[in-house]
Amino acid sequence: MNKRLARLLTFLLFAFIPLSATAADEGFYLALSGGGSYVQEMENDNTSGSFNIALDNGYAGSLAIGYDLGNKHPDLGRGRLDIEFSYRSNELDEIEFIEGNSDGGGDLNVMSVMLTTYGIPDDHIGNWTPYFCLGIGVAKITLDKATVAGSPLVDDSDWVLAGQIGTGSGYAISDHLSLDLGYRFFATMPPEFQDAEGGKLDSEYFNHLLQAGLRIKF
Amino acid sequence: MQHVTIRLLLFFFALAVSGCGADDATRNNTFVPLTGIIISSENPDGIADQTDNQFTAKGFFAGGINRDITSDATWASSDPDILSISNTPGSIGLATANAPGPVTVTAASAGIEFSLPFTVSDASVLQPLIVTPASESAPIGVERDFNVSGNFNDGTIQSLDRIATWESLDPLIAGVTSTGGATGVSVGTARIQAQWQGATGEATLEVNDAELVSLAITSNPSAEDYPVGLTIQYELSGTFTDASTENFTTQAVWESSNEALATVNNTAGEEGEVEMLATGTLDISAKLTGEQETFTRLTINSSTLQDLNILATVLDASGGFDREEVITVGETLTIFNDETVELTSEGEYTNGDLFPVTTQTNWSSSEPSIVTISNNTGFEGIASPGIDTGLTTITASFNILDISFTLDVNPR
Repeated sequence: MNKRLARLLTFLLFAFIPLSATAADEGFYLALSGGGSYVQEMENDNTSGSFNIALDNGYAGSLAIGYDLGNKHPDLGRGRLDIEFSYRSNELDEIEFIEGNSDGGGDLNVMSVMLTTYGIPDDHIGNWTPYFCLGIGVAKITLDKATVAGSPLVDDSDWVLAGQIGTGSGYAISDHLSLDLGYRFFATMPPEFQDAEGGKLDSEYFNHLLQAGLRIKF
Repeated sequence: MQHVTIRLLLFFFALAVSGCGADDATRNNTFVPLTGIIISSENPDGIADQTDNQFTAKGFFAGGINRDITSDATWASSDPDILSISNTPGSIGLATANAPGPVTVTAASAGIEFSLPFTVSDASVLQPLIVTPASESAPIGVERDFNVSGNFNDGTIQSLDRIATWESLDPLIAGVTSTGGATGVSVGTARIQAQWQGATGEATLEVNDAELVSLAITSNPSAEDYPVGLTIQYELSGTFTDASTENFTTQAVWESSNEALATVNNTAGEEGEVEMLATGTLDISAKLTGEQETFTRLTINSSTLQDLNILATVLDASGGFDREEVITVGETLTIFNDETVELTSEGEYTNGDLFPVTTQTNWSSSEPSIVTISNNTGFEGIASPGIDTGLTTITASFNILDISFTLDVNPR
């Protein structure tokens, strides 16, 4: 896990500058989006061993304030940069222990603030403009009143470093309004929670998000 | 820009794939409250004075979970002068009979306790003790295990493995450990004797001069290659100059040449278990003391699990075979509440390979009060009716697949 995120962070360092590309039309924008959130099964470890949390599909929403970098540097291509506030929520489905699966309860909620940069290839398909993005930031991961078979499991949260990568396409509805369809893979450093028995758990968070939104350029 | 795009996509793909899937759980569910305890006895009808008996406790927890809690429970005897019972780690639940009489054994945990009436008899052991096997042969340096039990004058038979003493009557030919493991040191026939309460019993160990000439690793199930996600058992066998063979699986030190592709277990009881982690080719080696070593090439293919075949064997009230049914997804299997179902699972892969995966499958019942299903070692997939009757959903989960069917339990 740490190795993967280290690779992501290293890559971001090298990738940020070329991706902070220029765009044809400079200016601030506001983006609102929402979508479906899928969280991979979470493995939770401590000295007693590990158990896994499977989650239902959930929802996500985000608000981003950004700047279209325009097209000042044609050799680097076009690009955008924004600060994105997002929220993801998934209900717990089942908890796996050695004895088997038990019903889970409660929610896994994640709030994040991400600095995200977008690269925009020159290729267009009609009004559709594909993009890919990279982001880095922080996330507050909360296991909210998580239970197993009705008994308390975890009720705790942790702030961790986060990264995201994604792709999508914008559809220009007008000069100032675009429809955005996209996918994000969002991962964090391992959050640490205190379980209901007072022990510390090393957990993990990998999220896949399909989203749709609107982007308004000022 | 295009170059960056490709780098990004490749990186994203690698990150997403590497993050997929959690390993199987390795800890018990200690978060749910205990609701009941049942004590089981190695000798349900009681034991003779001066012998011993292992008690075990099974805990029932909220949510239909149950597991062995022998070492978590606090054990007590109503009269330690008749039967004392250990709470010392390593021997928890082991009782020693000190005098004849009735007694009550209690196991307690988390404020819940269960008591079992038990009897220590005044039966005395008959000569001779029964040592099994009666005769064994082995090359020099290879150990053979012997067991001992006693016939008592009340007609009962009890294992005396933990309390008998062992002696080799021919120590220049073979020695024996305190637990009955005999090893030859020179060619000949050694008498191995067990003693308890003045009674004795013997077996013989014929020690030959056969020498180890080759080692071979075999796998079970055997195949040319295996898919990612499967765990298989490797075994090490040695062939001697007299053509006899010996299984050295538990004595060997196992090693994987590439632990990113496959890991091999050296934990007691799990020696030689290999878990396939990623596609590729590697070597699995096994080494014995004395520098004898061998290896086998292991290829892990990229086929994926496409189906899980479930076979149900219904056992009648007496444990005898009743019928066998291939389970299809969504079907309903009907049984009576005095019957037991043994479920086995077989993974079907995209390259057409089939592998038994019963012990790697996670079994669950949606209504544990109707049917409980075991994931305990040696009992995986055994479904036992509970206190209620009706419908319950049985789910078999292995790798990426969950297969569910309905079990309809009817009163007899």
